[in-house]
Amino acid sequence: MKIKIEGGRLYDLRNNLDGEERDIFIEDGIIVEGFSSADRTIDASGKAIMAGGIDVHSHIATYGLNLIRGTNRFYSPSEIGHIYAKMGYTHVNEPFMTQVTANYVHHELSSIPILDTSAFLVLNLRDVEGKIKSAKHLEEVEKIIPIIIAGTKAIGLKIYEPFVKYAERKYILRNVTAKKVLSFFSGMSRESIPRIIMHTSPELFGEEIENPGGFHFSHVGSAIGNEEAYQKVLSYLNAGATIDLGLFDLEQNLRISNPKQTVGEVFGRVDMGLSEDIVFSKGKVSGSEAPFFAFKLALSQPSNHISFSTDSPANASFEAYPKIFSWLMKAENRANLFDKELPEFEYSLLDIARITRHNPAYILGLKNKGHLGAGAEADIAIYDINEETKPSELEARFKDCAYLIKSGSIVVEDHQMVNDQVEKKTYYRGVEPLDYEPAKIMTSYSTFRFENFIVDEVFTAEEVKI
Amino acid sequence: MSEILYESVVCPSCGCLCDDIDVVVEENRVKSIRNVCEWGISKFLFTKKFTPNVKRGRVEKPMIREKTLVETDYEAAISRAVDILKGSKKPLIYGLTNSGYNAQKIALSIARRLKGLFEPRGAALLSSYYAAMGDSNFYVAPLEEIRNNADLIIYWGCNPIHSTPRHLARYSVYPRGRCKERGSQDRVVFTVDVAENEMGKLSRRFLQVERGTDFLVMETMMKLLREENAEDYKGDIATIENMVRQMTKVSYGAIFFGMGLSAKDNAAKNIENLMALVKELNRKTRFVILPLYDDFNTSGVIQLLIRELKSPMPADFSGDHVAKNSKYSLLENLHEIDAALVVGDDPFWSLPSEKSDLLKKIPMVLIDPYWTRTTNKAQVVFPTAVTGIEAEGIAYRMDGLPLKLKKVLESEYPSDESILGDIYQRLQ
Amino acid sequence: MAKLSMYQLYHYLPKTDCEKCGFSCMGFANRLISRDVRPEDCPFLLEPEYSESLTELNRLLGPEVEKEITGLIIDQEKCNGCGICVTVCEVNMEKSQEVGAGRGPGFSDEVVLRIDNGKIKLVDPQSCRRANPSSHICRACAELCPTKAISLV
Repeated sequence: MKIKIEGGRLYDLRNNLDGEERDIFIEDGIIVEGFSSADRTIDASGKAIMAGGIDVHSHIATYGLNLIRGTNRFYSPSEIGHIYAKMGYTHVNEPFMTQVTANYVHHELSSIPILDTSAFLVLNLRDVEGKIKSAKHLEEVEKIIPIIIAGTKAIGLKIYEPFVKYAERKYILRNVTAKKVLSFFSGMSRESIPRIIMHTSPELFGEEIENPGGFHFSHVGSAIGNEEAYQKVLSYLNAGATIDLGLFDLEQNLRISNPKQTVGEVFGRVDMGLSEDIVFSKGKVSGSEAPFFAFKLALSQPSNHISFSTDSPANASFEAYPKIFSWLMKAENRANLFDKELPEFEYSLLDIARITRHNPAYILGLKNKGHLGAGAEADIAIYDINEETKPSELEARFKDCAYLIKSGSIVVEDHQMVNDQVEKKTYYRGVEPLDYEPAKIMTSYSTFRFENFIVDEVFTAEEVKI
Repeated sequence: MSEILYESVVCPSCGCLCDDIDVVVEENRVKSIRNVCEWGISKFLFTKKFTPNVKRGRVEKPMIREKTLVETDYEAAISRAVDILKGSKKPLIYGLTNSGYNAQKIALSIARRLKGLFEPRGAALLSSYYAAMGDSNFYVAPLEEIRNNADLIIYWGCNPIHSTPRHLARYSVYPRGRCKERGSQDRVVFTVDVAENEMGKLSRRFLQVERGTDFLVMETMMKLLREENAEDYKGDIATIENMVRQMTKVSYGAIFFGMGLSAKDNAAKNIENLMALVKELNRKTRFVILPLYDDFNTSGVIQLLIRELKSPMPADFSGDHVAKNSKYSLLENLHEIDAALVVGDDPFWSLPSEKSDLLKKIPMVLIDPYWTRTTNKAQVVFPTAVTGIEAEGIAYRMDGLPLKLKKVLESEYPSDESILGDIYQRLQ
Repeated sequence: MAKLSMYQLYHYLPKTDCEKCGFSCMGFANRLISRDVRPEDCPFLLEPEYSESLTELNRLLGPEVEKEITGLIIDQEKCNGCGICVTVCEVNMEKSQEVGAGRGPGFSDEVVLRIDNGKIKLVDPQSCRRANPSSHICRACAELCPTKAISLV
């Protein structure tokens, strides 16, 4: 089907569009330069158009969440798809997939309607503890990691614990310090692993990172509780690191964290093979300065290195994104958030498009997403937002987009969900071949054979290798 | 015809889903097979469980009941099945623990469309386990982590040697783990069951309990953990004391429970106490708990229910509020049901007679590869390929991780997924 | 050698349970398997009418004794293929990376014990620790077998 979108104002950093009025032409699920006759024309005059939103960090398929869901405390897959679609999002990245839970995470993600998905592979450093102690194994690990990423159909590598710690004293020699781990991974070549995602914690910011430029620090908001850590993040950004914000809502949310960071009521714990269990809890982060500094950071210096996130559902559920956008965009909307003074900076629509489309696409390596130029995937969100929109109305307008087009199919039409059975894809970073003998150390403590840890396409949506 | 080797096939027998089965196929028959247990080989050779030389009778043609069961063609059988289900006010969709995930999904859609009931086999125990997570928290781990860390394994109300033969060697006691380098020498095993069995030999402690009274043992254990007086327990208190002492001393314990806990309709009570006990133990040390499924995809059907309905309970679509059901098993209300679709199960063998007698009175559609006690009571019978051997599928392991089931043999029969799909289409 | 079962041998015994040898006939069959007795220890078998049975028993047992370099006796009837012996065998672990973690050995891995068609099979007796006089005597597979399918001479 050929669709033409007329009269809308486009917000797209990559194509230098800051509210310019342009028509968009869609053919076969792709944005094209133009065509003469359209099957369908959408009138978008007086509306803001952005590429489909990309969430770089949202726990929607983490192993254990389904058990929370079983007691009715988390969304069902179809609710997730619908809520995101109404907010104008078309791609969500799951940040916690281990090698063992890869099939599970992909199967869960593929059961979410509408959204394209991808996932970060959380590397269990104990599998390579012998290798990362010295830089002489760097080359071998550089070869192994892309294979593990490709096998688990992941889009990037995440390090949740930048150390190897054994509680039992008899394994003390196997421990590897954070310093060693960080210096090992910062020595990696950018060709094989473009950017290593670091789970941020106060402990990580306690370490000195020699070469922060190669890292992406996820949800930094959760870990910057003071001026010192805040300054550290700024210096990492200046050195070329990328971050996502980890902003907060003031409501209580479901936390997925290590035992130290749990608050309030604990729902359960899952042993994912790391040095501590992953704990699911819910409660207010009280007495912490973290929310304040997270917003201070967001309002300090927007750049192409900063993406939006809330570590959903931990700091805020993805459902609260529209509210947080409205806080970022208008100082009056956030006036009562904190006792202390926040910077006066206000996000423009282009800035919002930048932190929710352009930058996440860059972090994930999705070249045909996050922009509206010819050749891009036709994932397009149209919001009822223009100069006349009052600050108080912003939240509702972001929550309820006027149109959503996903891979060239209309999903939301005139604020109504019309079709949730649209084409959806699983994006991953692939290499060939996968049978590199040393990579087998990655399954030496798994119950699966090496062949079976490779995620089969029955668990994913249509696969797209990047 | 030459031999074909299929390596690393997943075994569709029990909830272990061993993924290291190497099958050699010649002329569309399994010629030899490695690493499979005696239960698994019975499945691959289509023979009786644990007796690989006694063939099971396959249903060979679709059948419908005139006065007796007569063979018919597939279309006629589908029509009759659809008529039965459409004419029913409140049909029951039952079984499904030996089907692939996608087949289960279609079956759930059928129940939704017909405004019927959907209950997996063994729901009483499983639903209460998942529901108890809401009150008592959950403590789970993939089997790899149990194998890597656990130094105490407790089998409660189950005999893995019979229900899940390779569980001991692959996941719990004997394999060497990351922090348990000497395998079984680094671990202790306890067994709680109604009668001493093979497990007694390899368990450090064997606690014998009276059938259906496990909850009393758990209560006593909790009292002992809280250092309260537990003298009112009438059983083997010395062993219990001993076990509790050891349970608090270990660094990582794992409890596997089985169908034994559903004896005498006490499933909910037993599970509630067991989960509370695990919560109590987690105050002192680290404990995880997992069910030991003897059907290969029981876990999948529970995952499906949670995903689609946000509740592990059997689904009841008959009311106004879709699927909200607070009962662990709907079979208590069997007399309200006026038709049944049974997939891959033999209720006349597995259900107590007072329940299966009620099934006799209503028309039943049966999808099963084999002749069973139920076959002769059905109105419509479909032959089907065995999932994981003659048809592909997805199954969830007992720890909730999915694996792909491969197809190693060609079959003339359709898979249960495609039969259910055809029925579903005709219901539209 | 692994096929020898107690019942198979019992079939050729007089089944009188006279206990002249010191055991019941079933007990005697059991000890024949473990090579604790010889067929000639039964007085009846020396009588002419049992000569065929004696020959048969010696045929069944005789050449096996030499092959029984491991002293491992497997009763396939009892084996349920749980694979504990495969996992605990130290030599298996040295020979296949898979085994230590509880997985079955790979198709082309050369191991001592493996589960074949749902039953345990001693595929390479030469490599068993028990076949090597210089190494210490290992009893792991037999001791840990839950169904007592493996016994040792």
